Amino acid sequence: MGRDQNNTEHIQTFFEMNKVEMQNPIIKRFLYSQENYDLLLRTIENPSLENMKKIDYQFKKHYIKVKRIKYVNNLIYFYSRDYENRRKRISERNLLVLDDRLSSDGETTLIEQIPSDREHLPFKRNFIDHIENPDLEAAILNLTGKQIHILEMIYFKNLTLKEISKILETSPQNVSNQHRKALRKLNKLVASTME
Amino acid sequence: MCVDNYYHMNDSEIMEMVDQFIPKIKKCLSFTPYQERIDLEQEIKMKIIEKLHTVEFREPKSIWEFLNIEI
Repeated sequence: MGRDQNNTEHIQTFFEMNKVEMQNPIIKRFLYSQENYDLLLRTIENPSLENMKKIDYQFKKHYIKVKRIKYVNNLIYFYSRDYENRRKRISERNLLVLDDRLSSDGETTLIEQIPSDREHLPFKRNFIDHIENPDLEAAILNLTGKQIHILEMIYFKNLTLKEISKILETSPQNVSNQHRKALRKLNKLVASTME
Repeated sequence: MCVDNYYHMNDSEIMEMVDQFIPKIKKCLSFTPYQERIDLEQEIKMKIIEKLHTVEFREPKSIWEFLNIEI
């Protein structure tokens, strides 16, 4: 009993003495492991050379593991950054005529300026045929005809709310409301099929 | 006690490490356009393996450089 008392005191003074050091992330993380923590307690109780060596060995292993992780972490980051810069430099050096940047804004390329002579997606007329997800397709067929029409104009034909309201002879607010209603309904229907 | 143990990783340890870092690699792939990503992923992995074999880390500090103990 007396010896136990002595040991607890020992441990207490140890932690008291190393209050600041215990906050050091590497020490903190090391002692997270129950095994290491027990090892430390044992070493405080019995600071034999063997115990001290043992804990030191475990600590060094931990320490180098942390270093290694940090190293690899940085390696991945800098390597991918580097790779991208290198790739950019090379592709800018050997530019094709159409990929050249326009001098006016330095962003758009020449090829983007050439209009396509085909209509968008000419092979399928119906917008529902373009929906790949069967659940979503079934859900869309549950909407009203007007709602389907609005979705088609927004997402398929890329029209603005104003343009749509002109076609439907209504207000843009109404189109927006119908659109939101349709999305909410789709969300509900798809969620229910997923369950 | 064998000092080499924590200095050198065997192949399975290295592969384990590479696997652990896959989410990080995927994240860093977003710097580069789609068609390059598979190449880059492979290169990063190769680089990690190569470096883990060759890089020598400094002798780790002893725990007693951090903690004070009265003997």
